[in-house]
Amino acid sequence: MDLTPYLDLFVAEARDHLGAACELAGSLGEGEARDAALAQLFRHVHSIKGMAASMGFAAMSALAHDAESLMDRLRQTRAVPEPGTERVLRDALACLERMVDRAERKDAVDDAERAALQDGLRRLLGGHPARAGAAPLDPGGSAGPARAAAGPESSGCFKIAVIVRRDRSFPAVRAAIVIGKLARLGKLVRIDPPMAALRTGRFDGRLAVTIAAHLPARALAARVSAVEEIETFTMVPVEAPRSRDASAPVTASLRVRSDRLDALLEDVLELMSSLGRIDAAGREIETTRRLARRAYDALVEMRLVPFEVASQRLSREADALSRRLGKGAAVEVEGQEVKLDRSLLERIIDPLLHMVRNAVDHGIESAETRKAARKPAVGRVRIRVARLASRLSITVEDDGRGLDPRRLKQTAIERGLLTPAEAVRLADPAALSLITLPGFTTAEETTEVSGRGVGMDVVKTTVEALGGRLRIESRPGRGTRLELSLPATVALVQTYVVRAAGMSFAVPLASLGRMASMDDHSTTWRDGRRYWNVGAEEIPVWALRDVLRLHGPAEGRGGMVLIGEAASGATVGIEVEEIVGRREVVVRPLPPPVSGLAGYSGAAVLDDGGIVLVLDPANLPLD
Amino acid sequence: MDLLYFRLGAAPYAIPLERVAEVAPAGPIHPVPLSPPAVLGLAERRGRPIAVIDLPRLLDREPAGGTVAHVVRLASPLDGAALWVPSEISSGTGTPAEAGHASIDGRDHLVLDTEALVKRAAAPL
Repeated sequence: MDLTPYLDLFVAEARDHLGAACELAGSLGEGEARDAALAQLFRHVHSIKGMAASMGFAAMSALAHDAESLMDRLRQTRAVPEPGTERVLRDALACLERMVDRAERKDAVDDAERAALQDGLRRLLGGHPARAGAAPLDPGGSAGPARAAAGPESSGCFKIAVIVRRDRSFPAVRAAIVIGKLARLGKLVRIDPPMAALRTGRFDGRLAVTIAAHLPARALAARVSAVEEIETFTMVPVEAPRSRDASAPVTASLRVRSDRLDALLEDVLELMSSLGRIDAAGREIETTRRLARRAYDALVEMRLVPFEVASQRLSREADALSRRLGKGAAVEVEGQEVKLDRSLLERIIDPLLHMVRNAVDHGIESAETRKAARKPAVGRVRIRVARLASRLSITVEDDGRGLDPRRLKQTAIERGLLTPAEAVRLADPAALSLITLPGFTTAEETTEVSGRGVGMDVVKTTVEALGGRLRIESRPGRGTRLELSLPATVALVQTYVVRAAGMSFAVPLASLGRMASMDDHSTTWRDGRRYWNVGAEEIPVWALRDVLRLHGPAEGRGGMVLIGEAASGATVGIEVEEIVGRREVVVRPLPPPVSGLAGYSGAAVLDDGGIVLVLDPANLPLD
Repeated sequence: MDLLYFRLGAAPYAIPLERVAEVAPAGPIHPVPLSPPAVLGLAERRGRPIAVIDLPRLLDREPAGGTVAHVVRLASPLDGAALWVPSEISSGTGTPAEAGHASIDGRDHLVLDTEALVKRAAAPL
């Protein structure tokens, strides 16, 4: 059976479980809290094991199995774990994460790493072969580790899978009898196939019943085996369902592939824009528009995920790498709660991982070097996410050794990317961009550190393909700061529509500080630049028509100034000729070949099919 | 191979059909200030903006004086990019000839590399 269509789902689910598992493993706590954490951790790893096995990822499943066994041992014995146990567990989770990455890319399994880890796990298991103790009740081995959750004397919830004897007639009736007998042993929480299906007479002999038993496991097993209509059965302890009443309605959460959601969202957007063009009045069309709008809002909301989803992975990656390199590095994340488009997050996660690895590997120095430079022994990597107007800014900043433009130039010359003459002409800030040239990072470095062949060149092209920009700042000896500035993709944005030289533009409200009308008395000219004096403040002003080199005739009464912040941090004013009004638009990134054009965050299609460019005031090319 | 083919001035050109998402009559084009000269501007297609590239200008060809103009929207990965072709467009089967040419009904056509065109159109000059 070809399982490829399920790979995406597997990857998404496995990552969810791993994310939760890693978080739990990071802080196990003590006493009862620790027991609870271990139980949860166990369930996540158990799920991964099962999913991996059903996908045919034997190595992944085997590693999960051993990790699971170790957790079970910890939980069962409540013994003080051997030193290093939790680390081995965390390493195993990290390894599983990499295996999922590889599975996603359909790469071969890297078995050396797993084998070493698994040896470590088994050593901690005290030489007990991991698969040795499968319960007699569980021929498939799937319940082996869970056995301890419901020790021989405890009662609880069990899933009993039954094969009804087939040498009798009316198997469906037999099934109903089995169900009746089992119902005497506890409360039946779930029956599969349901009774309604059994009544139709179709029954293939397999029955699964989840039961909240009155009896301890051993006694229950004995009673079940005494039911004569049952040929064989397996019994697995399961978590009691949250809802005590099996018939109570449950709000199910459904997993949807993000590309399907994207496609649906596109359809709704198209629906909205074609509704806008229907030339009809009346209540029906208004209702239809409102419904389309509601569907849109709901879909957009569904696609948003908090940055936290990614930041855990980034932190763990940094921790694992700094440990491997014997460096001290602390990761701080700011803006975990910022929500962003899931499809965007999926595309930038690899570039972000690379940036974080770079910061730890190339940025942070050894403790001795740091001490000599009078820096704290532990280096700091700061990841910051912020939503600015219709853009999203993600920065990865370290307080390490920084980039040395001279050395970068030297490397570029050695790799044949730059001639010595070009190197001389290249200004220092521009030299920082050399790290984004394909081939600047050597193959040796990419395999050892980043491991997946994502170099800074790929970071740059990915970000640019998304209509964003990569900014690099660095101070030798002080650290490096990489910023991804990305459009927040599909989203309705509140804008002001302004006009200059006969053209309309939309300006996101959030990108503006304020707006004011300006008259000639309040401006002064100095060195060919106009300044607007507001109180004690003096704000340089650019006319939008000059900035965009527009030649149409002036219109409106003029003199309206939009005040915002330029990329440099300075306050600037942009003069427009008219402010038409407010409008909510769907900002689309500019398509190629204009995708990288500075000064715009995108374009929007209006209800009448007309187009309006959306300005990004912070990045307008002011001289 | 399946091709779209057309003339710019006297010169015959072809585009592999697999590179094309759609051919539509050219509609209004909204200029984009500061864009490279080979970009005519943005047009609306199915509720989204597409960037229209001035193909005659990019190929250094005189635009034909005719009244027919088409917009050839390119397929993934060049989603959103489109070529402005001011002439009739036909489709047909061609046989590959030497050096990026294809022969359609015995006539030689230069087969355009859409990716290279879009890259060239992004250049400021």
